[in-house]
Amino acid sequence: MKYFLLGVLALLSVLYIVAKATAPAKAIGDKIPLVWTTDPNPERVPQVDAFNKMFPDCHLSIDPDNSGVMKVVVQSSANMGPDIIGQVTVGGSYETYNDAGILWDVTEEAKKMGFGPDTLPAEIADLVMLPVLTEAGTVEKRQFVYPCNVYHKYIIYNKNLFDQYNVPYPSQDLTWEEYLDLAKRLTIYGESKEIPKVFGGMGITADEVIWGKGGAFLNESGTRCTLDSKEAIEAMVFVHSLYHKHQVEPTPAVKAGVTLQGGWGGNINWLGQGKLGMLWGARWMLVQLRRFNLEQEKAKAEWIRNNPDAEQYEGPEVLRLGACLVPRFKDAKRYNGYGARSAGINKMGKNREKALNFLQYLASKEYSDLINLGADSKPGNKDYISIEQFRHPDFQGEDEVHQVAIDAIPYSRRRRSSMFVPSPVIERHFAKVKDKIISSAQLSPEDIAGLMKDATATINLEIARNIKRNPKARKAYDALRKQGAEAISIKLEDM
Amino acid sequence: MIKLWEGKREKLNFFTAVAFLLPNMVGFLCFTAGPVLLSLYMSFTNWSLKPSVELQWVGLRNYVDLFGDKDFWFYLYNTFYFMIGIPFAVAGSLFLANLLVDSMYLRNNKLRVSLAVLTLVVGFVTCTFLFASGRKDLSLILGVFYIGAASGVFWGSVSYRTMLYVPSFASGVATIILWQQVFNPYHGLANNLLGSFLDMVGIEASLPVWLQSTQNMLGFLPLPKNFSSGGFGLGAREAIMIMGFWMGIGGNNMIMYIASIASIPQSYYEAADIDGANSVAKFFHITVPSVAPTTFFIAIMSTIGGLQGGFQFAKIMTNGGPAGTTTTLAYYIYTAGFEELKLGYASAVAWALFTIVFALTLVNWKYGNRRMEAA
Repeated sequence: MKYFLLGVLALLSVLYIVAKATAPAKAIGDKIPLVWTTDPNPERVPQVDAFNKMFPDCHLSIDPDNSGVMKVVVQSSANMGPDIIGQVTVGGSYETYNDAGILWDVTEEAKKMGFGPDTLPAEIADLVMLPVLTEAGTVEKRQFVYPCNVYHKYIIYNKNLFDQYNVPYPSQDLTWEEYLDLAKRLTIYGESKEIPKVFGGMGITADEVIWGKGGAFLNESGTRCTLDSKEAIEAMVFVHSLYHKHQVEPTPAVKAGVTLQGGWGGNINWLGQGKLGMLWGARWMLVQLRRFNLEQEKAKAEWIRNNPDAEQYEGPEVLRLGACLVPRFKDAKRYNGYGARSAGINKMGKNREKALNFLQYLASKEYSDLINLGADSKPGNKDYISIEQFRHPDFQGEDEVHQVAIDAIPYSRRRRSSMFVPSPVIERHFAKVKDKIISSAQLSPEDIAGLMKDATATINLEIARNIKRNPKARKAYDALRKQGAEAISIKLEDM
Repeated sequence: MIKLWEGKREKLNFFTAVAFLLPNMVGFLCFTAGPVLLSLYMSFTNWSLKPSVELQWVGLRNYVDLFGDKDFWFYLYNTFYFMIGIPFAVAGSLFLANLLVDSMYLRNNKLRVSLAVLTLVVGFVTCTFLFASGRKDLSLILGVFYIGAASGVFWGSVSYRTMLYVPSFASGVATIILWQQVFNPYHGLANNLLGSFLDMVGIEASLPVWLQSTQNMLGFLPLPKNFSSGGFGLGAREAIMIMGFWMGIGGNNMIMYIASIASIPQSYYEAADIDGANSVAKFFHITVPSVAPTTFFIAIMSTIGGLQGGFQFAKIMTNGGPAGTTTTLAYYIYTAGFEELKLGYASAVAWALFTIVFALTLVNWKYGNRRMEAA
């Protein structure tokens, strides 16, 4: 037996040597290899090619299999991480990567190389910055990333549906009253009394409602969770009414019912197929919606070819899109969420200086043009955000969608993050509240207030614990207090 | 003193054996025993993946936090709730094993083939008729039933054993996606059948929304507010329990019971026949006591599996929701450790879970073993 096993070992060794010897070598010559962890989106191919052309001494490649947050953290901590950390999301993995200490502070380099926060639209310049405790004992905002693309939330609607049911298009100064009215008028029931055949609207997120009512998730310095405020509670009561009283936002159960019915497969497809009137989204939706445009134009041409004598076109309609800003409450300010998929540099990376070229590339015209043409939301650099640059020669009639993507910028708002509690913790507790609100029609405003207060108390306890137990967090807290930050809601001495 | 070898040859053999065992031993020490012991140590520290948190010994702090953590108790409750299904799955396995232990194989080839073909023909006609008359779900179910019956006639009980074992080796993700469709509140098979049944008996009731609902069968209990009870009814927890029952009933437990029942001496049943015992009496008075050691083993393994389970369902099917109702302790360990980066706390939860598993196994051992010996 042992000779057999030794034989197997010898055979495997020989096969390994053969495989190693015959494996195709990476033809990068003396170029400096750079690895970017990101998704395997087909758009990455031209993006990588353009970079390699722009910086011929570097060879950029993507690593789609190791882009998960935990993989990047663990591999980078072991000095095996990528050079460029992609898929960094503000209010999510940005804080996690920074907490893990693997992102390189590029504030000074960014200024010199032209990809600092001043290159972003002023309203979102804060996007790339994170508060950190300096050696001098103060809290300062520093830059660690640059956006690959930026999105702003707004509403894209199907004009054909509005025309078909004689409903006026949404106004550019949309209010919640108007939105509810339009969404109700466009919610059309067919045979089924439970699932509409046409949905008026879809995709409302609680964030915009909370901000619109004057509430917030955290206070400005991140020392307190403020979801128990009167405004935030009112907002969630309103969210409850959207699902259950007004029924202008389908519950997951209703959505699941629709998904199976004919296999539509997702909100964007529903909009493209004329089953949904208004969809909360962003410019990136055009990536999918353009496919409908192509298919429907083809069907139209075929109809005309088959009906040469027809006096009037009666074939399938081609999708016509409109866009408007998200609604605001009467006499209140409008807010729309925004976010970005960003990239940062691994502090421990062997070629981190060269990787700076990549962040510089993200702010370049070459990269921005690719983002604009592909409709992959918007580039970060404000110099390349304009309706002329957004236009694609093959897709006419998108100007409204492009324009609102720009109009939404002044109303930008995103969830605040805290140095004292990870964003996933806030999200976990808030998601529970949301789930209960969505799944239970019977909840009273008092019940909702109770849920919000419980979630807030738990998050505030977590903040207090972290400050009490982590000396570095305590230092940051003391520094923030000196800089005028609000105190936490629990007395540290009482803990 | 123990002598490990005598002479040169035995010495060589000993070291050869050690050399072959070494990779496994090193692997076990590095990747199983080491991490287990490390996690025990780390459960007494503030271990975090954040470098801003310096590793410190915090004594029992994580365990104290855990007792005050409302979520921990809620997820522990969820874990136990899912285990309610285990006795039913075990009883179902025993019942199936008892049915399938005999070969049930027709020796006459001609008759076998004719009967199988006849079953298929009757099935085809019936299902086509039902499908044409709009009873698509019923036609699907009857179709499966007839194909099962035909294969049973042709291959005997082996075909049923194979069919029932399929969920055990089918891809977990694929079956979960399939069950998501079954529990679709408007078009899923579950509600279509339930709706038809309620119509038949003349009861007017709203159908459950399954995976999107926080209702549960113990929703009438006065539970703490954070337990996300949406009242009495069928919800996400029941959906997962039904799926678990389907996966568990025909799996390894059934195979073990078949082996166990097959080894019961036939003379017991013959003696019972002489005494005039019917099938039910034979099942309860001969089969059940005779397979007690197997039941004991299955009970222990299922308890351990139940306490450690739920991760796959939570991660793929429900993301732990709605409102945390399908989050089990196993999933909580993952979220606390790898999403919130609190590895010390996650280790404490893991060891608390281990303690519960260990205590329940001891109780099982003490009382179950005694009953088994009495049987």
